[in-house]
Amino acid sequence: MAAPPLTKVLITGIGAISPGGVGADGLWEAATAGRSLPEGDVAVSPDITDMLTIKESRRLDKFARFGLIAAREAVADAGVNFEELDRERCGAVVGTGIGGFETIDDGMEILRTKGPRMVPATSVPMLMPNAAVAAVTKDFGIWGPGHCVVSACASGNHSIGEGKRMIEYGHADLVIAGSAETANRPLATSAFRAMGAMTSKGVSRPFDAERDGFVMGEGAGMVILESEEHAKKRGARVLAELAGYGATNDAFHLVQPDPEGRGAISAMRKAIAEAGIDPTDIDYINAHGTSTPYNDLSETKAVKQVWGDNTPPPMSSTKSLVGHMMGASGSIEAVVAVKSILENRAHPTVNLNTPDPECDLDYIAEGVREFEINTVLSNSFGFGGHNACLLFKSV
Amino acid sequence: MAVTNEEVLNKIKEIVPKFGVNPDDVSDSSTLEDLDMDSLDVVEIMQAIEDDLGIRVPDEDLEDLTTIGDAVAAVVKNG
Repeated sequence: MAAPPLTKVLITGIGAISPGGVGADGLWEAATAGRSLPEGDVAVSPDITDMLTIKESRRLDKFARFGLIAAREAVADAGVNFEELDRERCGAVVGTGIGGFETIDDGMEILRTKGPRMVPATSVPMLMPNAAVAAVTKDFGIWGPGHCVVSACASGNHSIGEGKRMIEYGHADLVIAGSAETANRPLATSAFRAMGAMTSKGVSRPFDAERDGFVMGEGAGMVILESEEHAKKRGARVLAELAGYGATNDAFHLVQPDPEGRGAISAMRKAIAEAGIDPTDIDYINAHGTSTPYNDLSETKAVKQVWGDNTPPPMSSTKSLVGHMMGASGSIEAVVAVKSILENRAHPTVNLNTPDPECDLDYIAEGVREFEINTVLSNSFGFGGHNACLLFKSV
Repeated sequence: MAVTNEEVLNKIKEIVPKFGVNPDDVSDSSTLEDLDMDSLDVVEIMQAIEDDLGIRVPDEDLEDLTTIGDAVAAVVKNG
């Protein structure tokens, strides 16, 4: 006997902070402007001065401040007033790769220079990875389920996918889902440089033969997920449907993706199958596209496997335009996927000037492309071998 | 080194802006509740005082502390 159909999960609000600026519009404008980031391996973070009061921000690490600001934008965008809702039926999933890097870094400095008695008493609740979801749930008075997903650069997609599950399993009618990351600190950048994961030439050029690593960015992306029934009852404006979620592991290597993309292939297939469609129904792929030699090749191979004898749709990398926001990247790219559907436009992959014979798909290298976009697959693959793919549909 | 009530109060006024509190609202009679401060803020104030004035206030002297004046007295007692 077939299981009863699960409720449709709809997206009714979006919010973002990125090197493109504060707001989903800033992100989308930066992406569709098609300009390369200024040269360097770290993108300039957006200025959030005065966006929160001292009282609001004093016990929040930077990543939680980013998460809270993006969540407020998404909530306002969705026209949600939690006072009018059953708040035990509202939930939140806010992921991150690391958590409170600023607090860890500053706390260690105080420990070394001033000794253990001077370490701020609030360090632990500020550095914990769930500090952002704690800030978000407290701010809105969300009494239903709430937690934090940590899966490196797949955290954003996992968070949104797990938010979908909360609604499908009947645990919540509305979920704030997304992720935040502010890891631009010497401990992280030095390690990424030592590993060769960040570009030594200061340019993100996904799928290009000369690619040599990512440009690091800081940001947060947030979406409001609602059951179809709840959105209807509320009279909400619907932006898109979150139709599929697929999650797998490579179980191959700590940081290197499976060269044949085995885990990526199965994650894409699961997301597509959950949406009840075929790969050929997909109009656009928002790639993980980190600009590292390993990722872009294995992702290309994986996409080819999923599409088999068919030609994969156009695919582009948001990271080439606003940097790699680590745990925030998936949710940033979810916002981009929704915008792509709403505007029937896909941003380009910039700096793709020297084709790599092995990366031979259509990466939208020439500039913004206008075409009908009803279905978007968005990929995220994280250190640790965690893969999470989301499938968005127009409504 | 002895420290006066006034010195300690002035030090607290220097610290409170980082908690989003206006120093002009701070007096001996203002309660933590009035200033929307809690016990974690008191811990941070005491850390700053230990750092700046070298006065260490034991935890037991911070129990049942309700006003800024109580905090000042606890510091002066241990100064």
